[in-house]
Amino acid sequence: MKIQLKITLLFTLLCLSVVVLLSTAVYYFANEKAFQDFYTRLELRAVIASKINFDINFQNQEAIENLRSQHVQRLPEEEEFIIRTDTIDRIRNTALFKTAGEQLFSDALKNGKAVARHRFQFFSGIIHQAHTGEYLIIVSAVNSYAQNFLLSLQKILVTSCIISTLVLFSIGLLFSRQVLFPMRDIAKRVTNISVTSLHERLKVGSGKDEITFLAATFNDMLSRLETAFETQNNFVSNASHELNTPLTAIIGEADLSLARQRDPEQYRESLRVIMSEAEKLKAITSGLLELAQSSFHGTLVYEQVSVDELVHNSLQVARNVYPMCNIRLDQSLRPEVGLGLNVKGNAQLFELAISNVLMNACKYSGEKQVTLAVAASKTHVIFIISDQGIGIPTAEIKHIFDPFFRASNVKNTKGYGIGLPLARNIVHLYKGNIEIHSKENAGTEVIIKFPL
Amino acid sequence: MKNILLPTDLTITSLYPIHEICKNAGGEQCNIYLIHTLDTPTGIMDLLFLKDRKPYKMLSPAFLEALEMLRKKYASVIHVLSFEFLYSNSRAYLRNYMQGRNIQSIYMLEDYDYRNGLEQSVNCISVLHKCKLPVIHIQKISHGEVGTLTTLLYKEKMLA
Repeated sequence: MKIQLKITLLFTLLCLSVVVLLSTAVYYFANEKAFQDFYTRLELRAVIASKINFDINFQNQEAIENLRSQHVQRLPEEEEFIIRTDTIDRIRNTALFKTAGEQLFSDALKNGKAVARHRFQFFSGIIHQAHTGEYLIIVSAVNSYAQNFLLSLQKILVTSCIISTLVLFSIGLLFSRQVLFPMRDIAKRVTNISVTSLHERLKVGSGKDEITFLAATFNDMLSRLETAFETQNNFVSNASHELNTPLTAIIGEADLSLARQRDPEQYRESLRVIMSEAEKLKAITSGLLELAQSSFHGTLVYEQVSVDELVHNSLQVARNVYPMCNIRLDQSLRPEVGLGLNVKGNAQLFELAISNVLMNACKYSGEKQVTLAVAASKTHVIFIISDQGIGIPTAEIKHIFDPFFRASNVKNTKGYGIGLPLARNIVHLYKGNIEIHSKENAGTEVIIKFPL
Repeated sequence: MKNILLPTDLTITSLYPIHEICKNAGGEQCNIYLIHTLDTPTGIMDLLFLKDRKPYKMLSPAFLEALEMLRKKYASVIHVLSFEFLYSNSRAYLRNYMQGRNIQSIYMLEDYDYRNGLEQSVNCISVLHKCKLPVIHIQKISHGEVGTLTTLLYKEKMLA
């Protein structure tokens, strides 16, 4: 079932139940309370009957009887019953007793007067004390006005219920269509967005409603998808370019040396070139392998890694690769916990991440100082690696973690753009955080946080 | 026990004097009261809906983390390291505040432009100079660093 129909039915059902409840209440209370005056009229007639029949002061009873029949309107099916109270038991099987109900008799005996009702036949009874004994006078009549009134009320209520069902259903349909319009609109526009038109975005309204939020979420997702697609595209083109360069050199060198007969020295020279290019290829592929392994999300090793050892080893690695690099270990933020500073994770991977960032800092800062500092907050161990090298152009910082991406100002330095993505993957693997701040020609600061 | 007042503009750099405070403590423990002054609200609506906790939510996580690092770093020296927003930069108010906390000296960075950290911030540096308490200026040795936490790294004068 469509949501639109569901909403419509739910709306109709809810409103209709209120209407039905209201109609029932109207009918019930009209039936119960609207005819109290009829009892009064009956009671009056009962009093007159008692006067006529029992009051000895009324000499001319016949005249009164005439007066009554001429001037007091007879009610439909009006009847009078005069019963001696001590003979009530004898009339138990009569029609009167059955229609008026036992309640009328017992109430009248108890309270002096009582009323009762059987469908549209109304009864009113009073007790009269005559000198010959106690009498119960009952007057009954059919309230034809009430009968007509309730019948037409019934008709009106039923008809209005049926009409309101139709009206409510149509209003509900319009209402739900109105409510779901933005959803259909979004769906329509999303279907138009395909791989080739990922740059398109949904229109986001200015309000703060759920639909705006939905559209904004969709746009966010599109942005992420677009970035992922772009990264993927960049990765493929960059990777093929990087792999292609040494391969071209190898093929060219081999081609050249095979072109004609050469002396052994020349062959040796060619082989040396081929060898060095092949080593480049190997470096790239092993880097790629590490990158692929670091984004593996299988079981992770969690062991206590000493921060001091980690720092020492990373420094060692960086100093071995860049012996000219001036690395300073800064202890000015190191917490006063002695030997106890540990972090949970895999020592090799952490070392790989930190040394990669350190080596990057060394690579791009020449002989200027590189600082490695350790600090700790309540929840994280923080490594700060800062240099005063060439920096990264602001516009390129957001791409710096893309595999094979290299900033535009590093043309003269050898590199494959694998180090930072590798570090980022490792940090993310252990639920850490890596931040990079940089200014071109001023320096770069990398902050790596691992949870304690 | 030393009681020190340190104005901050909510940047990590402005926390730098904590290093000097702890170095100068000479083995004594110290209470460091960091303050940032905000404009006194004057409009009736501002006063009615003044939420004391609100500016605290605007503190950057990096700033709080840096405070945490320094607290860890000088755990044995720092007894109290508190941060407070003050809703006035009048001299009387600041003097009263400092008297209440028995402040002995005020530390601040020399040649540093204390910026307005928040929209409603006001500068209290010139007022603090008039409070008749010793103001100790800290020369920050800058290497033209970029980034955030790097500015907090302490460099001994001889190393610089």
